[in-house]
Amino acid sequence: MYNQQITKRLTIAFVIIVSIFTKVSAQVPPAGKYDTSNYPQDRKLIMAIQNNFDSSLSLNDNYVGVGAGGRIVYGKAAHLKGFQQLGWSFKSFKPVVGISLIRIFNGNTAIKTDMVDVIFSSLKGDLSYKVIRTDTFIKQDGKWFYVMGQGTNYQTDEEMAEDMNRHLVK
Amino acid sequence: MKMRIGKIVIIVIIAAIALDTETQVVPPGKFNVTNYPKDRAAIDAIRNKFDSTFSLNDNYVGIGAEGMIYYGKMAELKSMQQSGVSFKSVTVVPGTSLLRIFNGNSALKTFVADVVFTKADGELYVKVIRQESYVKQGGKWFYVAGQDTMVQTPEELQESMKKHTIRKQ
Repeated sequence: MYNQQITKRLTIAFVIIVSIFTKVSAQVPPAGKYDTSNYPQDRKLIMAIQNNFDSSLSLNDNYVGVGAGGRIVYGKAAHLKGFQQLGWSFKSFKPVVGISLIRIFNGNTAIKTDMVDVIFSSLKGDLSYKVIRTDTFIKQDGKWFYVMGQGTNYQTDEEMAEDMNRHLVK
Repeated sequence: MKMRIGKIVIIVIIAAIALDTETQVVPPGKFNVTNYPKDRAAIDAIRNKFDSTFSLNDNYVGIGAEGMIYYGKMAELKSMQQSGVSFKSVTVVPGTSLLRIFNGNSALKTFVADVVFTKADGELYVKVIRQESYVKQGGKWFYVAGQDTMVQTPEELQESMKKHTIRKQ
């Protein structure tokens, strides 16, 4: 009886892991669909950016950020203040392998899309999120600047169904 | 007495939501909202982004509020059809629309909108924050990226935070 229960639990866990894996792998950019090799020097520069909030990437604070929690902020100071008010700080930021895509248009607009596993530290404990992001960079006078960032929470099928139900008016 | 408390609670909730949306309004004077006026008019005139004339050889990535990435417009439309939802209305929250144009060939539009979808078993009401990216090539604007993030009420945010918290040992 006890063994049966363990087997059942393990099967459920396995099914959940496989379904998450299948869903995440469906979010990989299709091979050959996009030009991922144009402007190689610019790609290198953009990929080398570790901290989007580095002041050298600011285009006179011409920045808009949208947090996955559903808040829009105008300017980097507003963005950082939002974090401080929540009492959160970044603990780790790990891109999911294979999702990252950089598209460069006209040599001066770069749109990067990505899925990341983010962990925040807070007084109540660590918070773990899987977030889908778009980060936009603009080149002016030979230099790349960070002008927009948006995050949307990734949801499992169950979370998606639950969320749909909550917003449904019959 | 009970009814009065109920009314007060409702008023407080409405006020909290209103206050919350207010902070999402674009601060006046912060951004250049008048450069490239002709391009602004051309972008604002785009009603249906899925019109094939705005497609740059399907060089498009969409991120839905439900947390999915779509590579190409067909993938996005297919997903909507599969989930059985269709747009009923999109109402932009006044004061939240912002169009920034960079170098004359790159445009970023952001806004908050109340969206209603029609579904077989009812209607879906969501408030989303949206960005749209446009790129100009050969004198014409194309739609290349869009992303939605659901606006959460303070209660939903608390609930979501609880769900994602790994308790300290």
